[in-house]
Amino acid sequence: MKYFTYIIPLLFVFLFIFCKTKKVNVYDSFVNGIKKSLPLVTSIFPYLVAIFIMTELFSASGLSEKFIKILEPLFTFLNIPCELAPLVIVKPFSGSGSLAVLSEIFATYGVDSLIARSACAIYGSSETIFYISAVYFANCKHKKLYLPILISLFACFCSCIFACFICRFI
Amino acid sequence: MNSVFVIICTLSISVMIFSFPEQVLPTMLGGGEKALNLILTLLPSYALWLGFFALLESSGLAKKIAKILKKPINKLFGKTDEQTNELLTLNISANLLGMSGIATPTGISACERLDEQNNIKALSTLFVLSASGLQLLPTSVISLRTQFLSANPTDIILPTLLSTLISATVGVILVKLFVRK
Repeated sequence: MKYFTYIIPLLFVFLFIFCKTKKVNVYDSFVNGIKKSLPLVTSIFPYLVAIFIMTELFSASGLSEKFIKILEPLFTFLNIPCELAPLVIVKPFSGSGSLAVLSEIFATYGVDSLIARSACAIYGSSETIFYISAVYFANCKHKKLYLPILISLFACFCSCIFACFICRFI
Repeated sequence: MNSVFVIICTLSISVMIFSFPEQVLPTMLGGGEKALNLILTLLPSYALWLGFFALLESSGLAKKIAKILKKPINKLFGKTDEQTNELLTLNISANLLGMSGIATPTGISACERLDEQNNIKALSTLFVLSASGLQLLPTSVISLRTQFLSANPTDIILPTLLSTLISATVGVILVKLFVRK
């Protein structure tokens, strides 16, 4: 597994050298890319605040514990640790919400724990399905597009089960 | 998301009114504080990777990757006209590289064209692939792990890649089986 540590440094070295040979103005281009990060961050910040207020209320009121208890049998049956239930449920609805849940999991269980690593794989294994469907299908005239959404939700759930399974070995 | 938000917040606050009403305001403010902390950890990583992708684009590497992907994409989506094909290639390669800024607009126009051509099968394939979040390098997760001082932030690359491959393959197979032309 160790050689993955080298991927990112090598990527950067390779890209910088490649850009230089192509006579790209590396510095200006890099700065121009970075510029886009501020509007991106300001655009997701309000959503993050709202989601965090919701999740904090949910856990402080003790409702989240009860909710997870109800779902526990289903998740144990599928071999998904029930600590990950909030992530699996939030993921299809909200990208920033699941990012918030993911960082909560890091803070609570430790970033290198099995739970946190499984959470990473779950987080990366699918996109915000309902957001994508809203954006992609917004201008489509066909109305019977619920089938691909159902398929995506099912595929996402399969990959969650798989993610928890595979993280025990690698 | 709207009704989820309203239901969860009202329920939680009503429960707290009976248990510890003095905690409601601090809890909500605490949520805001957590969001602020998260955004501060996210900003450097977004900045870094957006800069990285800008270099990919301006050096022409992004286009080269798109060229390599052209054939497998033709296989996956079947026959489409040239312009749609280009949009699909751009969308998939941008998704693979994690450039959602390019992926979303190209995905939307590809969807519109496929919808006009009544090519529901290709449309569903495109949606399922995008929804599976197929990405070569999960940059945001790696950065977040780095911020949380992980011993080895990149060791989730392989499990993540395998999991997203599973969701993509399951999705594409199901579309092939169940969605009619």
